[in-house]
Amino acid sequence: MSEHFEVAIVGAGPAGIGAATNAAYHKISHVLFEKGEIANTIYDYQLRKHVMAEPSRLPLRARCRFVEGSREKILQEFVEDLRTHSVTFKKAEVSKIERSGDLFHIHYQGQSCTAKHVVLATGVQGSPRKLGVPGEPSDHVAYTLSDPEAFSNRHIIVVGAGDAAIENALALSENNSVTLVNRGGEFARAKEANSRLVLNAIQGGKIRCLYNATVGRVEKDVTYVNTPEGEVSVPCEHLIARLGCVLPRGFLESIGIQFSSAEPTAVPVVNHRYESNVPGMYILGALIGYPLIKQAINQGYEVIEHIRGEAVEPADQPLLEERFAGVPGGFKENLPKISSGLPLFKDLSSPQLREMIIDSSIHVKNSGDVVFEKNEHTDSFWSIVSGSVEIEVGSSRRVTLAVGDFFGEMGLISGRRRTATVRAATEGTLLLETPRRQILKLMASVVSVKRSLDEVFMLRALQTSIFPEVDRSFLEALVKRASMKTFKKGDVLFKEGDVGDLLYVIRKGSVKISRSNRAGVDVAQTYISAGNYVGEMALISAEDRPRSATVTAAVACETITIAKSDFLGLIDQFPAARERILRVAQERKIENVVTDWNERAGSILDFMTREGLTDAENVLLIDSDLCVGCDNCEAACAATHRGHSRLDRSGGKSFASIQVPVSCRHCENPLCMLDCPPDALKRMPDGEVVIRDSCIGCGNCVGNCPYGVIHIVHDKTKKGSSLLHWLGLGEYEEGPAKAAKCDMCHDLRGGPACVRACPTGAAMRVNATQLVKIANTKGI
Amino acid sequence: MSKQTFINYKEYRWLVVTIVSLVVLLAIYALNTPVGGRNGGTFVGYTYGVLATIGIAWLMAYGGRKRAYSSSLGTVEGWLAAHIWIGTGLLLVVPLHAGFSFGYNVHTLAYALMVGTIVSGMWGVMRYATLSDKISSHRGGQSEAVVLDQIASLGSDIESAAREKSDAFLSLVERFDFIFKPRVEFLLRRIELPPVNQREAGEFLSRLPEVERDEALRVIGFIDQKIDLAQGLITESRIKFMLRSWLFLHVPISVALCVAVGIHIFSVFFFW
Repeated sequence: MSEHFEVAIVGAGPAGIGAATNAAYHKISHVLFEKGEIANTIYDYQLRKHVMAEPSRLPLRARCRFVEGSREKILQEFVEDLRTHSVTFKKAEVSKIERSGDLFHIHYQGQSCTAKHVVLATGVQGSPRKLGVPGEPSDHVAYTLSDPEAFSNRHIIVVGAGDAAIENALALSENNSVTLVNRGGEFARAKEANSRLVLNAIQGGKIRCLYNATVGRVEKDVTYVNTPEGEVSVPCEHLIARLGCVLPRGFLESIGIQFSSAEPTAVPVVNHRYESNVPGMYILGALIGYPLIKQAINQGYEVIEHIRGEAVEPADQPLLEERFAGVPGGFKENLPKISSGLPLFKDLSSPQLREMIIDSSIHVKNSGDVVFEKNEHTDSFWSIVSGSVEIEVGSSRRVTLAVGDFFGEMGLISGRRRTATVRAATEGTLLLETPRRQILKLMASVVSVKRSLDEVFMLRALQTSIFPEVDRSFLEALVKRASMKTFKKGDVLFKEGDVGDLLYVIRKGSVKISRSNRAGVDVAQTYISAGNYVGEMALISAEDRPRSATVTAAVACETITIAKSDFLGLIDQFPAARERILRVAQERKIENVVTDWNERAGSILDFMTREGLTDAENVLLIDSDLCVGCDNCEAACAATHRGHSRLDRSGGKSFASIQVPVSCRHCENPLCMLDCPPDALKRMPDGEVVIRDSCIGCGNCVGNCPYGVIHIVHDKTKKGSSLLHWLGLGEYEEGPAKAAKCDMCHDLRGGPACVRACPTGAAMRVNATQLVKIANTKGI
Repeated sequence: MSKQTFINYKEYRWLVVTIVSLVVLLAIYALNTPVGGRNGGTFVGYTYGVLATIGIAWLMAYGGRKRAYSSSLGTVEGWLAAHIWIGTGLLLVVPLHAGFSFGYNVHTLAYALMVGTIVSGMWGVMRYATLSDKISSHRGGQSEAVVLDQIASLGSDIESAAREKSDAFLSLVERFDFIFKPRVEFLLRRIELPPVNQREAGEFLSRLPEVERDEALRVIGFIDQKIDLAQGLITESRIKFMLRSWLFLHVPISVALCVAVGIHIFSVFFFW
């Protein structure tokens, strides 16, 4: 007769320990299986690693202890707590779970037992994801790192952008030269504290980070990495890939557990009690998409309460209810509207959904209330929970969006201003505003979110700026056939003389158009920004003319490509679109003829592109033909900014008498805003990026700015007699360190002091859209 | 398209204002034939004197506006344009005030100082207009700091080339290499650094051991580059000084002018 338990818990990680200690506390007969060590994942952490207790706002609800601290302390407390609660523990690997009648038969190491309930809390660390590149099965490629001190004076590559990768890279960087290979441009998936630490280390030169990069192939002592600038070879004696883990899907499916979809990142479906489609089978923690320790412990506690038949609300319940304070219906009535009414979030696990809502704000709007204005610089993402909104496209057209739709998605990618004003169209419209970072995190972890957003991006990009005349249904069909292409800075989309077969709609970034002159030298003609298209001329020419110009990515670009036949079909069917496209093509031809005269203007445009001015929202330029070097601009800047000039007039490069001083350009894609712990960097409604007083002086923005325009300064305040100050002998009191940069004098009447203080008219502030004009003026 | 500068600001707005004002003032002057002849003591004379005094006071206020960095009262560029054109106009307003009577007295001294101020100002305008584009043209788009770095790095290249070489090699380096340091002299007169003398360099080269000749030629190349870069910076510092030096006349004379105008006004009211 095999043993019988009320609850069998598989996996002694945080979730399992949380469940086992609570079961023991309530004297429920139970067993806890673990094939490896107690809390094996934490056990595998680096020695003395500091384990964080995120999310910090979430309270811990458990019979065991867990506070932020060293790996050793936490493991010791877990073992002690299992002992004090007299948890029944079996060190054994569960090989099979079968269900017959109301009972589960659990097979382990040649034995078996029965249980009424099974709690699966195995985690996912068992099967790491591989790189899948040539040369990979190799002695110097590893997927874990337990003792970073075993390495010194080596060249090491760490692949990944999650917490594990960051922690490994930081620990190794003490004694080694470490390169971090990050597939994306940010550390969106990492815990906030980790992302801050790693950005500091990168800025301080302790770690080299290759962004938007992937490993190409691994060789002995050198690894080839694909970056936006092309392939680079990185010396590498040891490579650690921390790409997360693959779910043990086969094992789970053998028990009969259903998954949310066939996507590789899909998670098992559980209800709010963590019960799967198999009655009596509960799944917790990383298996259902929740990798954090505190959340897992809480889930373990809660699942035992559910099994006991006690109604228990999840630990994050108060946080969620607080979000819905004052909203009609409160959290209870609105949760189903979000979980099943918003198709975009249908594949989110319950914990993912709850976390997303906690991060978001809820707005109730009345008919006519403005949600956001056109040209505003905000980047949050909006979903319609109830009611409807109206988007003002152009001066007369209105597009209505209803329940389940979302908007504001352009803020996620391009960092440009809002393209339209949105107003609520129904009384009591309920909107969910989610921060950009949270949506990026979901795009990275839930495939269906990324796919739906991508399709909608394409559709809206085509609908709003390219083919407003064309029916939505036609465009939807077009999007299914269109594809996304990405280009690194300097990549060629197509060359002059090529056969034209595709239309490129620029979704992100900007491109440079160039043509060769009589001597065969490539001369820049103009540049085209996101939201426009290129390549239409060769497609509409009657006699299949080749490409008339070369198009190169000025910065990293994403494009939607449409095949020639699709494009021609479209303009045949929609005469209004045809007419407009022909008119734009005609205008572009005229522009080509004009700039054909002017190679010098082309080289000026090239210089501006190289200096990153095409990304500038508002940049200070100096006409060095007029500048007399009096530095009144710097004096004005210092005088209006507490004694520190935010511009360096004499620094920076110049070309054809256009000088680009070292000063903030208020980029369309401001990298400085990437990782600001107190969220002090903000884009104001007029486009200027400013640093607010909440700045803590951490220096992340200083390191992230590619143009070196942010400095850490101590504000000076006058001390002592004003007579001494008048004589220039006064003393100053220094304030705390803060980041300082140009704020475009946004609180000064009359605008930027630098320009208004220039006696000769040499200083000017311009927007990227004016560059072509300036290049033409200067080029003559 | 021509660019807006401090001279043609808003399509010569202040030149137009000045010319129109002068025409009006001239017409009134011509139409008015006071008893006892035209002079500063007539109604028109007094009025023009008051106008000129206000004008001078306003021109002096430019120095304040230039440093009032938070002011939103126009731009410094606009103020400078007005400063130049209205200032020039005063050349005629003051003789109209005096009925063109000059003499060896404090009154004519005030006028002379005003002419001095205006002429030194014109000299400044000339320098701004002709020299500003020549400041940085030698740097090939780089900042001054980068050029200084290049000079320093050429210096260390020369130093490392001379390491463990013969005495003849060292004496060649000693003869032609130089340390570039800014000197006051650069500001005051045109200085042309001579290029490496080919004949003399040839003599030095002939004294070198065969194995060191290529290296020596390379070092001479470095020195030539250093001379080029340094020459650019020397010229630049002189131009920058020229863009400022006129102010050393303009400002003191204008202060003297104010004192003289004060004496002029005081003396007319008390002693005339």
